Amino acid sequence: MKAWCVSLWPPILMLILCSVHTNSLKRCLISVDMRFIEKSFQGIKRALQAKDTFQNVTVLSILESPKNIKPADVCCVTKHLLTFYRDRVFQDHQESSPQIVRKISSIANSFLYMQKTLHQCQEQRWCHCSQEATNATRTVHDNYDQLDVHSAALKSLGELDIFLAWIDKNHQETSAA
Amino acid sequence: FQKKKTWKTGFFIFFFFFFEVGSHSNGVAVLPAPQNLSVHSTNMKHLLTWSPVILPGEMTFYSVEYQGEYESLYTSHVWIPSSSCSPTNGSECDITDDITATVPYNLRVRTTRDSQTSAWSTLEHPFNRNSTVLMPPRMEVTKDGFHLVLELEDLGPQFEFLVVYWRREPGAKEHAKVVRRGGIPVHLETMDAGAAYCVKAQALVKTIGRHSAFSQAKCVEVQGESLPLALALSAFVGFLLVLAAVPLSIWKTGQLLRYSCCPVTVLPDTLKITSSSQKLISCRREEVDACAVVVLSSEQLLEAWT
Repeated sequence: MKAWCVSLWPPILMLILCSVHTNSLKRCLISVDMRFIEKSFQGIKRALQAKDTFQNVTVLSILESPKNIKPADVCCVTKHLLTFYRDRVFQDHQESSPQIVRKISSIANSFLYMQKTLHQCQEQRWCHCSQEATNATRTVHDNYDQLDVHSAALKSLGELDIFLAWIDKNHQETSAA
Repeated sequence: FQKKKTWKTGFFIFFFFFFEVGSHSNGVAVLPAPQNLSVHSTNMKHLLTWSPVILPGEMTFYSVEYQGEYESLYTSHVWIPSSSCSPTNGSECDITDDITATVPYNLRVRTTRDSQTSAWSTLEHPFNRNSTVLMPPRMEVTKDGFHLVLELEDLGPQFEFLVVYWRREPGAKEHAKVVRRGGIPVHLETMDAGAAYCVKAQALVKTIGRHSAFSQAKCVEVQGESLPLALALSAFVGFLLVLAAVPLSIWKTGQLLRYSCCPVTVLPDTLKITSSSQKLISCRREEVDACAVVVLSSEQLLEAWT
């Protein structure tokens, strides 16, 4: 009986630790005004998606199914996708409309703030990138590279609602607003 | 001496053309640039100000541009015109709608007039909205009967409030409540009669992770039970009076009905036969005469009286 209990203890402990870790992630981005970022995007979504000519490709396909990303990989995937948007999407996109430029600037600077906040929050914690998490973000880059740079950037911008909804689900309190 | 003169003339011509051409190329550096740029921020409202440029003639305008930390790090040549101040004719600009993330923002202003512009004047230190001054919130504490009601000022969607209230007596416990939005009356507590309650509040801004100081406490008092008691007593007495008046009025009404429907003639006392020694005049023969004698006509009676 004792041996049986002892053998069960490590997995239970791991489960508790994992749960605590995942729940603590939920509070990392609590100071980010996701509603405002979503509202900024809604203002330009139609204009961006209307210019997208490659309807049968989804750059952020990995985020569309909830089973694709495990809770333990959420931290790593979030960091990688924020970097993806910062280093590739926002810089590759050419925009002439002042209104869209303004909104994209707002979102890009908010993402910068999110990265800093996530980094500070995770500094003392575990944000390990598993092979699965690395593969998932690799898929995003591969999807992006399938198209020409401008079309890929435009499409990725148009898919911001997918990314924002995913962040909302994984990083904010469920009782928010 | 001739060589020196030629040199001097050459220098003079050179500098003359330099400034003349320089002042007309791309319309820059003719107008003076605005000076003393600064940002004043209170309760997440950010105001960029500068010293006005006084020029004779037509009105002077200014253009304001900003770049967030993202632009300054990754696309440093990109500056974005302010949504409400490109152009503006005042010497200040409400940049609240431009500063939309909690990162440092660079800001610059230049003078414009017709097709001419000045050089850009840039804010010395980038502005981050987390340096805003948060004031204790204004609040109105009222009582609606026994209900303690609070209304906080509306500071916009970025503000929440932590409200603390307590019964004003030694050792009373403090209660806390988070109010998500100002401008709407909020019920805090149902108060006990004869007690005083106090309220204070502080503003919270999640997006910058800061809060204001608490406001000064405001207190309200609920009246004791004496007034309601007096009212209850008065009501009771009134009820008793009504209780007494009802049978009395019923009896009186009954009497009125009796008299009007079925009147009963009552013999006056003087005509009542009693067993006393007083006897009626018996109208026998001699008495009939007496009775007859007694009967007088009204005129005679009247004569007898007068």
